[in-house]
Amino acid sequence: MTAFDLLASPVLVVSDFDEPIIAFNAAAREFFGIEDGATRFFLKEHYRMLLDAELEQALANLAEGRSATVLALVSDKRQHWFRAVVIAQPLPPRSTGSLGAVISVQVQHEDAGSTRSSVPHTMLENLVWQAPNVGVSITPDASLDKLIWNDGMYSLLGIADKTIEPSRELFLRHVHPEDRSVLGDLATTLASETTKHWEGDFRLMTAKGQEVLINAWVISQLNAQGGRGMASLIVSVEDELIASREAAASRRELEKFTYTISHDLRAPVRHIESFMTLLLDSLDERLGEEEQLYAAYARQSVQKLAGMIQGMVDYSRLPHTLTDPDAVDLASLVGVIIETQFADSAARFTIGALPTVVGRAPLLEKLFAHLISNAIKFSRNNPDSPIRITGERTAGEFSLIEIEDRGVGFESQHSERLFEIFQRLHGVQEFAGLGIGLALSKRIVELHGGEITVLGQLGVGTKVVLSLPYASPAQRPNETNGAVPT
Amino acid sequence: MGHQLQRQILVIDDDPMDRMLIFRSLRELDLDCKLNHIEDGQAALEFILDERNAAIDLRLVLLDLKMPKVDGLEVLRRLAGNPVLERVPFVVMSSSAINTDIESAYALGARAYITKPIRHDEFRNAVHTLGAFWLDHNRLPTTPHNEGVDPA
Repeated sequence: MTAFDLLASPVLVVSDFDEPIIAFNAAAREFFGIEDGATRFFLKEHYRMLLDAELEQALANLAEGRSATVLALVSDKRQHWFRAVVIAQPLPPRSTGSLGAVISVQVQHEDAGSTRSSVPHTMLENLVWQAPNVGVSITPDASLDKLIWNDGMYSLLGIADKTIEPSRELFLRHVHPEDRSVLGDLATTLASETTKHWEGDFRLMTAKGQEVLINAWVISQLNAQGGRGMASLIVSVEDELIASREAAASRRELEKFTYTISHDLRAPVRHIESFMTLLLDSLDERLGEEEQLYAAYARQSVQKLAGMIQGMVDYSRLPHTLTDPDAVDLASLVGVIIETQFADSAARFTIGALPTVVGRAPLLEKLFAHLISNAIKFSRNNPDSPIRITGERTAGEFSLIEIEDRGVGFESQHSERLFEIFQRLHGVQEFAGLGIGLALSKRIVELHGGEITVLGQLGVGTKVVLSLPYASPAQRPNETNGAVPT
Repeated sequence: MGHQLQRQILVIDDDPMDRMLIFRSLRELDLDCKLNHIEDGQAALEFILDERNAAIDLRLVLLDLKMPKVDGLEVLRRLAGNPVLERVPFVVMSSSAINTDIESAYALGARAYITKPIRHDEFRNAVHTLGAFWLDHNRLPTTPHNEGVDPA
């Protein structure tokens, strides 16, 4: 009995890969069913690389005096195949130039396919194992508390020396102190049922003291020995986080810019409007017919400019996220809008059953006020046909709402353009308006996670279809939420 | 008692065109009230806090927000706790429609907040409404300044 024999997992020593002379420890002899003198065909009989390229890589590593970790299939004495993590440590180089290694085999679990037919599946495993920036940790048997890490794990933790023994403690030392509780007693949690997974985000502190936000995915499975194995995969989401932070920052910057520009434009536009008004008032009697026309055009343009600036301000001030969404009863919201904002209109309405949705009442009020105002404006030629506002719940979590008029309609190939700010399909002389309403409406609907489309046919009418998240009865704390404060 | 005091509306605004537009509209009201203007917040504070101006019965202050040196919100902030804020209505007239500006102005004691309308007719209406409300219709609590004075 030697110290070598006392190692609990199967370990073999390959003295030369060209002419293998292999020594086994007791655990290896037991596992593989090796008898003296029966080692000649060992590799052929018991060992399958999952990828040939991996063998080359492993040999190249060993030749350079570095260790190599590969995933493989190994078969035991019963010819049952197991997946295993094989770690080869190079032996000191010898004068003959031949290559040797101490190979320890971490048997994971019995491979159901038990032949090479499982290769495509395990190629995927290999892919993950070798992917840069993906940390993989495998615990063949949780109770043994033995971990195997891929290179990616060492990189993520910022540990340059990959010979350092992986351990749960070492990993935990790299978890941000405030986030250690997130992990809790993962082993216990995962051991409580037959198969379970855990996913979470937490921060790592690299060896260099850098903070890295990662996403972890952990599975736990029974292994061949009846023990419980755990496999963890971690990826850095720091880049995504930075990218989304940068995107948000530049979006904020742009909107601040839009707001400032439009805001600062207000004063000069106000002055042009005001002083032109005063000037024209005092010139009134002295202006000829043609001059009055010029003056009217100039004033119209300034007022249009003022409206566009206001539209930009409104547009840039829409929130980016929906804070404190509430249950909003659209029936009462639409009722109040028509009563308070369109009471003077000659338009008639047919209003069907409207759902209660999840959202912000002030934004939804703006949305429906724009859409109703558009419907009224574009059906002025046909005031006797009512504007229909209907809603229905779809199979999913959304409600569909339709606003349909029998007005002038439009050529349907232009429908996408309608949502661009300052876009108009009708001449200014026909219909007043700046082309802001639908751009704002689209932003508001998308803010609620819904979609909006406009269907139309020239001379027939326009139908706006939009979706908003449906509020289940449980999400309706009280029924008065749809009421708009006046 | 109060008749020796001089009724005055103070416009604090750095923009000469806006001042002209405000004055023009105020004059149309025929308020029997001196119209005064100051171009920045620092000078306005000095004027308001100067005891030599005790004989002035300030009836309304129209305060712009964006001004060089001391801006409108800072004027209100520096007057915090001063009885002048209770005695005299400070009304903000600004180009800004930013919620935070509006909230800050009210929190600092502004009595009203007007976003200067772009259209002249609306601008004029807003100034007329302010002038008529604060100088004709509204009653402020009695102070040594307005005791016994019937502004109507």
